[in-house]
Amino acid sequence: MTSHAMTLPGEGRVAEPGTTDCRGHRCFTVVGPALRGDTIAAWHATLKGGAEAMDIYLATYNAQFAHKHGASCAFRYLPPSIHVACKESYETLQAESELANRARFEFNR
Amino acid sequence: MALLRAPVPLGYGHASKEAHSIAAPLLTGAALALAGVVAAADKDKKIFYWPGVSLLMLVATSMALLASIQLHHYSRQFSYSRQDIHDWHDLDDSPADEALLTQLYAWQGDDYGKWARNNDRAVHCFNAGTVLLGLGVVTVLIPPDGGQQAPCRWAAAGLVLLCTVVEVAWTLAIYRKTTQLRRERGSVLSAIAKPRENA
Repeated sequence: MTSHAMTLPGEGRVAEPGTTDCRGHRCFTVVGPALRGDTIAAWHATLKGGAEAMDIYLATYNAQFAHKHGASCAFRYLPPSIHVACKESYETLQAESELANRARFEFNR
Repeated sequence: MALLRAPVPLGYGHASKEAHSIAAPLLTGAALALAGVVAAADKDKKIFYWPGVSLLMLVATSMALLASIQLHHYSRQFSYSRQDIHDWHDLDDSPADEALLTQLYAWQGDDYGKWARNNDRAVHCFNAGTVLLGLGVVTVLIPPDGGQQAPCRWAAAGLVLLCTVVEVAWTLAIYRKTTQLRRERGSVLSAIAKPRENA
């Protein structure tokens, strides 16, 4: 059925450009596309501002996705630009998550 | 376990393989055969209205479809399931194998991204190829000035053109529909998935 649906009228895409599946534990959310202004450089600059700056950044750029992540998703507090940039490297996504956690922890200490 | 990634719907990979490894080669052969007919036609008899345009369309069709076949073959190596991992590696769900499984599952997700990116390129080539084939057939069917069976050829050309327009509209609708389906199902699954106790 799927085969006919693809071959006869044209084939559908696997993924929407600029999006990715969240790689968090038991999380199936499609994240992205990132809003204008949400970039890797902007996020990394925000990390230097500590928890408050991160929360403002996430409220601005991640509000539409944060509530859609799975309950145990470790990556729900990463902005869409990071998810999309790391879609072919789980290791990098984990590193970004640790970087964010460290930035939040060190600022609070 | 979202370390692993899967297409939506799950049968997409099998269907994609059929489109690119069965339909695309057949359509490529048909386009090249038709191009051969146009190229070999007697110039004095004026069988085709735009033989040059027809040849261009049909050769472009072949190139697009060949590209889709090659991109599909390249991308296919990155598409495998959790079951494939367990078939190829002697692993079970014991704590001793947990780190190995986590790494292999993470690589599956990474490789899935490569498959999705290259398979989408193959999809665009396939869809472009089928539309070009329709347009190529239209240019072949248009009768030359004073040609025989002109009404029938015009009717056939119109029918193929209509089907090609429908194909384009349908393809664009499918592009939107599949991405919506992925988002909707992802949100539903994330909402109902509960964390495992041993996670």
